[in-house]
Amino acid sequence: MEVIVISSKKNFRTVKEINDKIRNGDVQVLTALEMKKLVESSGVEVALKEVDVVTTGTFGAMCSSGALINVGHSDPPIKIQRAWMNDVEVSHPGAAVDLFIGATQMSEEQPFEYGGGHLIEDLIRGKEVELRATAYGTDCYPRTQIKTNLTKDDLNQFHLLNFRNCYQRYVCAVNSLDQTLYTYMGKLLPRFRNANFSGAGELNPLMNDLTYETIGLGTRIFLGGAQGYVISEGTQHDPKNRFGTIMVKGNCKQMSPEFIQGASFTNYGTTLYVGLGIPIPILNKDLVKKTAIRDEEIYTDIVDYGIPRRVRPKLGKVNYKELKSGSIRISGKKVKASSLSSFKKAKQVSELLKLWIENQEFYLTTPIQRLPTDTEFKPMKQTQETSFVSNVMHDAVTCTEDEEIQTIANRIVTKSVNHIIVINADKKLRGIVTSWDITKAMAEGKNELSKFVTRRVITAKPEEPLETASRKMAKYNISALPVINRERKVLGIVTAEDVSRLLGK
Amino acid sequence: MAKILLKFSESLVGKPIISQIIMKYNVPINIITANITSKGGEFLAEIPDEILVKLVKAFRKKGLIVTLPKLIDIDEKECFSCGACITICPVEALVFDKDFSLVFDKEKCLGSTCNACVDACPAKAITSG
Repeated sequence: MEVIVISSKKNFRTVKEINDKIRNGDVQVLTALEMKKLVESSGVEVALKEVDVVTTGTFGAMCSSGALINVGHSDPPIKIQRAWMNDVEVSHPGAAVDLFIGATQMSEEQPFEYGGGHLIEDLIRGKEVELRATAYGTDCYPRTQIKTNLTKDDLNQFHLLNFRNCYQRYVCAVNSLDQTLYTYMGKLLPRFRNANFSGAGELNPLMNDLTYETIGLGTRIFLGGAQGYVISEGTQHDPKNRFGTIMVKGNCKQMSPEFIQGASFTNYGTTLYVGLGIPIPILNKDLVKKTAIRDEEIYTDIVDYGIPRRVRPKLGKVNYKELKSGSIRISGKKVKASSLSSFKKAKQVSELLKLWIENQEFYLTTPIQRLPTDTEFKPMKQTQETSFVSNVMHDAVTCTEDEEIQTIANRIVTKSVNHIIVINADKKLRGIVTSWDITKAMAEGKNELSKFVTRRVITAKPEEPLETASRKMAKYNISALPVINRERKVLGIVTAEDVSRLLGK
Repeated sequence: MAKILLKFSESLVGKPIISQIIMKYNVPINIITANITSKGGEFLAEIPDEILVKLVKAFRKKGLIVTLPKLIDIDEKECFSCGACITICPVEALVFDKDFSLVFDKEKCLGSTCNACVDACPAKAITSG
């Protein structure tokens, strides 16, 4: 493989010189937070002379994580086809007994409570887990099923293999809808009542070396409390938009449950919190400036998770200083903001990494290939059309509040519908009545619509995916949704029959 | 001020018990949360310390069940101070200190009448009140 020279310009110091200083016990290491203060107080030149290494850190939910394990051969041997550990299905990516534990795979017995992330944590903790596997049986691997209990000591390899970790930054999530949303960005309260963000900001590893001058294949890092390596750019690496990611690997047998923790987001699923830190060698002035980056310079988009589309509406920009202050402003209104990743733990990662280097337990590496800076993150090519509410909605049969019950009843019969949408003179939504409501009202002798109209109406927007509308109807046990625009004007109606006709449910 | 949790049975829902007590003792009662339907319910109230014992007796005499609210419980071993619960808490009982460590203020917690933070915790470190 071609060896890429780290930087063509003459460097102030080299990685080899830094490692010599570590060996001699006179290396100068600062955490990224300390470095920023030094550059601010003493300037770039002083920092360049005094500091050899800057340590970074992050601790957050990293769903694209997992562990590759080899469980050894049984007697007689089995070529595992499907396997479960503590009821979490583990995939079988290799020959016979290599398994991959995905962090987001959920337990079949306790979904949303226990998953791959917890399983990895339990194994790291030294707990015994149950392996259950089935196979079709071959001449060379005759066994068709096995059940056994294992700890990490019984595994030949137990490697954390995370294909997308350490997002450089992430968006800030809010919810415009009337109901609470449970997402991978946490619990989002209705009508912008909170904002959730993730990431360590100025302490994030990739943020402290924006052009990946010192980070790439072979960079030794802090991973889960042990030493690990960067093995590639991560999946969905998007450097041009400053959403860089890395793929990393480390030996789980040496990791600590303090920095690898299983977690679960209500109604979303399970994941793995990963502690990760990268040492940045201060080779030149540019790296001093890069590691001096502050939270107020790191901006991210405020994104409305109320719209379940790939491209969600952006409501503005916000920097990490504002986010960490506990509140941000959205259209002039104060909104409480909180983090999903732990800044406290991120600081611990950077401090521990600093200690390792000072104690001659960790030496720096020069990557043999830098992370790419020009790759793009493409959306999925879709060969089948997706249906939206606008594809199936049709004209709604409406009435106004001053109409006679008898007139409305006649309309239900002549139009042969089950739902009448109540509107005002501006065609804005006022309520909904069903044929059942009308029948019941007439039987009870009620003659005013206002006495039995349903005011709290569950609605749909035309640009909403049909799947979402269908989920809503199932959730609230209703059979139709008025389709409205932003001004709450009624545009039409979508019914359960429309959905089943198209989605075949 | 002390917080007490008052529980109504179905038969007591129709009676203006709180108004009667407020008028009889001439005392300000701050109702923090209330969840009452025709089937009964509960509410969380703040009462001045000096009259607490007297009022608890009075409420019990009217047939209400009076208890101290059961607060949420945070398992400090599981909590990694992400902060996901902070914006969910309506009374700022969950906040960060200067070091971004989560601090729980028991005095402010609404306990079993709220529990909003419980399902927001990714570490599942919070037990319902």
